[in-house]
Amino acid sequence: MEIVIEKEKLLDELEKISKIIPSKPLIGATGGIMIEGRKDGVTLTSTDLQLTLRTFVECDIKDKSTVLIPGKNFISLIKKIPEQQIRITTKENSAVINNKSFQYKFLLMNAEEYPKLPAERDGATESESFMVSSAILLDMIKKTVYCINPDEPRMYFRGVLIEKKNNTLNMVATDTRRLSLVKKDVQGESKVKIILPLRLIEVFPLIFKETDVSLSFSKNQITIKTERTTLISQLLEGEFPDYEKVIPASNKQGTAIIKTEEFLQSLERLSLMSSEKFGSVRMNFRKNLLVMNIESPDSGSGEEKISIEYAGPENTLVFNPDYIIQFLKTVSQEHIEFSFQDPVKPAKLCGKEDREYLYVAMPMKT
Amino acid sequence: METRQDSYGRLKMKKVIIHVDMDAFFASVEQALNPSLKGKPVFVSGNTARDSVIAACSYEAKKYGVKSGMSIFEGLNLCPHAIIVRGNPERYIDTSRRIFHILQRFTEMVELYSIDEGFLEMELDNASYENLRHLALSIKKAIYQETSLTCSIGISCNKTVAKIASDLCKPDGIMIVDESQIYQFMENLPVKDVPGIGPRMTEYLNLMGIEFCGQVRKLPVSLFREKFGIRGEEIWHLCHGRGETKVTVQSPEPKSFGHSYTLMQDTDDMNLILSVLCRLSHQVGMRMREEGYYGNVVCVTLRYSDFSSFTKRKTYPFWFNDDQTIFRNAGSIMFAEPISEKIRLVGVSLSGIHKRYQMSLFRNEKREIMLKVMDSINKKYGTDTVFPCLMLYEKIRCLPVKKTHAFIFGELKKIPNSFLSEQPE
Repeated sequence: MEIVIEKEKLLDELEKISKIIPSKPLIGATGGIMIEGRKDGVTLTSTDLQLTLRTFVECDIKDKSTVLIPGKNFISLIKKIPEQQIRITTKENSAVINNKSFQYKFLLMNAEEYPKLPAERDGATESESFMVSSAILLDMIKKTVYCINPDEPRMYFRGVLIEKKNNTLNMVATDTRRLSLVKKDVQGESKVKIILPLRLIEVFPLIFKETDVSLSFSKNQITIKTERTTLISQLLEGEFPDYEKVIPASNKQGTAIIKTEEFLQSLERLSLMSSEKFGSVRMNFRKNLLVMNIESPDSGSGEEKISIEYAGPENTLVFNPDYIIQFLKTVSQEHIEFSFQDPVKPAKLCGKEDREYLYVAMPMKT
Repeated sequence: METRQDSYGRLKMKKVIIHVDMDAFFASVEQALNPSLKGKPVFVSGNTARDSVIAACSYEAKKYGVKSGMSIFEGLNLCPHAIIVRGNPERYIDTSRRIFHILQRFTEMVELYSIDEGFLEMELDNASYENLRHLALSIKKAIYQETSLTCSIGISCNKTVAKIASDLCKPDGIMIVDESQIYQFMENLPVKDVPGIGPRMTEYLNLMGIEFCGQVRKLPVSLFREKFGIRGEEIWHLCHGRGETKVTVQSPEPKSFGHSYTLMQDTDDMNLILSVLCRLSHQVGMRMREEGYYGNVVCVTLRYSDFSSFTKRKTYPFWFNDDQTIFRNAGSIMFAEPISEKIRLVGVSLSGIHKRYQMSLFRNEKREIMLKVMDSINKKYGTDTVFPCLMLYEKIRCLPVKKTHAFIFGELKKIPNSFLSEQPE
């Protein structure tokens, strides 16, 4: 095989490929990039056995063939080459990258040892797929991913739940102490309830930017596809708990309206006083006033008062400040609504104008 | 109950030192936890299955002349029907801590002198004999009501005499020695009964012809200083019934709760190791729930047959004290690295101890209730009455099977891989 390829185009795709190549491959062959000759270009493939990425690059090509090239070194070398045009020639067991002034020869890996990759679901029916803009998915991921606890022993909590009913798409993540839910309108008849692994969620924003993607899924696999790129991921098994059950109904509760920025800054200052063990802020809701204090036997104490809109009875709840801070940082609304019932029931937070993003936090028991 | 009367109706003491000494502590704790042992001779062996020394024995066994430190073989010769119980040091530490909290209700000035004894320092307006006796009785009552354990109490003006007094009135007694009575009290006391004078020193003193404290007082301090150095001077003072009059207050707050166990034989049977791990987690959880503590750092210790050790800890962003969470987390820590050698010892501990904790959204109230019920059954009928099913494996493999009730601890189809991903029920 002989290809002549534009460096920038190749590098763009290699950037994506490099996100998938495992740093310590369990199977040696997965440390390589599979290059397959096609009609007007090549497809590059990498896998870490959980995620598989295939991407297409146009180039001039002679004698189609399939080779497995050592991933890391290949990418590093391509990055360092000054020329805009790169020529790669493969012979029996080596790939040569050369021009007038240099020549590099990579020993190829045995392509037969490359694991058998999951097939794309090309023939997915309408009920098994839908289109969505990646900007929407990126936003949803940003608002949920921080709730995932990667050390959670129960596998199904190490990812986000995607649930599509009719024309709404819900994304949910929880570490069982707090829960984040984002709802978006997405066209399509399909119904789906699957758990995407954290690794996919982390890699997705690095691979798909500003395009529409098609999602199709089967029982244990999801395929995310654009024109030239295909990402296949295994799904997490297990039954995600009924998240709707833990979202408190709003009508029963006291609701305070709080300025996001002011609330965030006070909490950030207060959390400076917390050592890990005593990370809890006491929030006292009074008529139009929120008094927050923190006490830590190791480092001292702090108190903050902010004016809020609140007309209900006086109530005191204790929260891990980080739980609230992470929500406030992602909500992008001027005001938030903070609804609560009593000190042992979950509190519900959402933007005043934005009902699409909902956050539920469980207080601490003191 | 034995008390020593004094000839003065009122005692002049104002500040008193009270020494509280638990009676046959380890054995009594076992008897209190397992009512079927009550009134029977009990030997507590070391906590490892391989120890064959009696660490402590109950008063019923002491009657036959059994003493701690004897080998189990010797003990059984003297008292063939004795019941041998494996020791649970962690349990004793807990009980000790609970007793400490009870003592703290009487005064803040409490010194935990050893696992089963403590000193209290109190200022009393009216230190009459009756008053002191009443105080001692209320301490005994409080301890008995909350732990079902008896203790002996010695009261005097310094630690030395208070300790001697409590030793002399064992078991379950009270002895009060007023400052004015100390001279008389020490006169005929054998030197070996003075705390601080060990068997070797007793031998030296006996060689000098000294058997009773009264004899020491007739000799000059310089003689002791010459013979035994500074230590000699101390002994001279001790035999006069002098000692420290202040207690050292320290905090008994726990830093961690842990259990470890040396296996009967080194093993590579993963099911057995998991079963032991499950039992240890169960024990840790039970103790923590009893005291209302939660922890977020799990530490697992493995010792291999070649005595090399593996200790790994992991911090979680939430606090817990239920058996299952401890077990799951300990299991995932243990299996994070391959185990190549045969295992000799397994240990689990939970630290990052706190009474405040982050509640869960998906609270399993059924499970909380179940744990509560399980704990109260175990408290009433002995610690191993109801336990996770997985513990049966060890019981069947390694211990004589006892009548027990096991409960299923999540679904454990395949061990060890699947238990990490099962949903708790």
